[in-house]
Amino acid sequence: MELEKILIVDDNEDLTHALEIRLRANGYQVLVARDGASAVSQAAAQKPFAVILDLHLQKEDGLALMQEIHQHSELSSVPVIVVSADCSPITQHKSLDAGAHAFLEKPVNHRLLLHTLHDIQMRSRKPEASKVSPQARPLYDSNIWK
Amino acid sequence: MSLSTVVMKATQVLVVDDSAADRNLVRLSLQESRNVYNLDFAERLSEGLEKLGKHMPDVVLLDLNLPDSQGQETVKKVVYQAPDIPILVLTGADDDVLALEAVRTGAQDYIVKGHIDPQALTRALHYAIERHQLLTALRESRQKQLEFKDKFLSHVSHELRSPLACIHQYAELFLDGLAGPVTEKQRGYLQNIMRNTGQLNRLINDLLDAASANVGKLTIQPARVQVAEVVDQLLQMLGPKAEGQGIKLEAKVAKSLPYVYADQRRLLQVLINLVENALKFTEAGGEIALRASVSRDDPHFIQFSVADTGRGIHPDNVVRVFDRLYQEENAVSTRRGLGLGLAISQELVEQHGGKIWVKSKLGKGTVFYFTVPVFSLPAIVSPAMVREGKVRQATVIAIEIARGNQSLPDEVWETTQQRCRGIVERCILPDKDLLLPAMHFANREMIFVLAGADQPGATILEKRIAGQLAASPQIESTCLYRTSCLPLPPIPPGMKELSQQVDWICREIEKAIGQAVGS
Repeated sequence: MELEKILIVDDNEDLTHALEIRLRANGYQVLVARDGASAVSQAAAQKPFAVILDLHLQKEDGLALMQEIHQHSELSSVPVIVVSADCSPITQHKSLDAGAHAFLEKPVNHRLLLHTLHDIQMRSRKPEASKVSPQARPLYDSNIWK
Repeated sequence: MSLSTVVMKATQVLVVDDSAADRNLVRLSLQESRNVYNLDFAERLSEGLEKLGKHMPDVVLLDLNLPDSQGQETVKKVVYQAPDIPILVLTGADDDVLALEAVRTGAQDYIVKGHIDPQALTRALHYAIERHQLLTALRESRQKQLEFKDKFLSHVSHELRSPLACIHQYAELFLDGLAGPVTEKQRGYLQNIMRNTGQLNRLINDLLDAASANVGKLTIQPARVQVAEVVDQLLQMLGPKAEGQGIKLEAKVAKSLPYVYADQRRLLQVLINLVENALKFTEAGGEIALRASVSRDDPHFIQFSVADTGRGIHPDNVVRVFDRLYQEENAVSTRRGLGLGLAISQELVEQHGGKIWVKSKLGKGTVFYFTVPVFSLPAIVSPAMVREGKVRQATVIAIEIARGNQSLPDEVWETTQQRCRGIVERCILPDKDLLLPAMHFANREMIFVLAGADQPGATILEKRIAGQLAASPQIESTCLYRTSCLPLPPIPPGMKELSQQVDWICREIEKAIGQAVGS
């Protein structure tokens, strides 16, 4: 897995291109897939550290594709960021429950996206940080209120 | 084509008439007819309605004046009981007016008793059935057209959004210098593009709102909201625009105004609609004044008013301003909008349980008023807490989430809060527990659940919530959180009155919340 490679799965060429420019400008290497088959094969070959997936691909169901990615032996732990123009609570929860790392409304707010990507990178560097059990998670330090 | 070839099977007729002679006349007339009729009789309306409840005939032959119902009431009651059955009214020779009235009330036709002969009666019966079928088909097709229109509107809005988002994103790329250096002039032009895509996006949102309002899908998520905060947001958003038009925009919110129970985003949307509307019809040098105070008519509501010194609405048009697509001509501003803003505002205010109205004087100005309910814990708590005339035992669970660090972008913090609320909402049992309105602070949010259980029971729920929060990577990475259980004392044994119990438990809930917020 390379920490600067991202895969975008979206069939809207113009929107993807704008996103690509933005991500490149922030130092990421961007791969683009227009359909599910190409998404899975590119992800398996290139090992991106995260996948940005449009929920409403023309021919496929985004959630089914996410499941396919997660069931792939080499891709099971790749975080998938789901993006969709439909940001109703039902769609959001469905995506997150199906295993999405995050849900972002389309058009994507790039500050939010960059933050999410940055966060994934930080966790990948320190994998033990995300392995805290709920009981052991300490209460926060009270001085952050100030 | 004769009637006998049209009617293949026996026509079921229910005759409701208290006169034995009339019933006999009908029976004899129909026996002579070439068609087959199955007749059923009722002497009183109550008997007729009972028969309609058990078995639906093809047509009802109805005398207006029965022992237990007279005149139009008779038709109304039958229409109410059996809206899908055609009615043929039987009337005495001299009440033609009454018979016509019956047709307006919902009957298909009428026949005068003195003129009953086999042919006339048969024809009237079948025309009534036929006419009713045509009307039903027409109503259904009209309904389908309306549904299609709204589906179409919603589809178009979604389709419009995508290319618009594209334009917006590329303009933003230019502005951020990602396509090379940008000159000051270019920057100005790009900002014009961005401002207009923003405007277009709002119009599309209005279209979507109007479409969902029409199919009853415009929803609100009320919470405890501070009016002053919403008004500040409004001034920040529209202050510069008013200033640019040379209009004075000022707001006065009564001191110590109680909280309202409203959807903050939607309340802001209504205020934006009203102020933007006022901006459209007010000349430079004019004034727009926003006020909020406790309603004089009903202290359970806060009344807002937006007054302008514009040219006013013509008295003939005042009643129409809330209609969808209503357009006032000769707006001062060239941006006339879609004519949906006020219709959406009305829908939103009514969803909150409030009212919206307008007063206007030509040449002097216009004032829009609307009301929103005051936040009241008892009103929210009692439906969930009262069982069999008693207040149930309950425990408050507090979920406190804090912004992980100050550099976290606002957008990330907002989505985190939403996600937390969503998780908590899905952990609770809708018929047992109650999600209380959340409280927002600068860098933290407190979500409260009123669990319908004693402390050990509530602890299980608390653990479940904590577990779900811990399982979400989005939350774990952006915020810190803690959960706690705050038991409420049992109702004092001497307290018998239910309203007293509700007030008492609400005070205890407020105490518990205050304690959680302060800790």
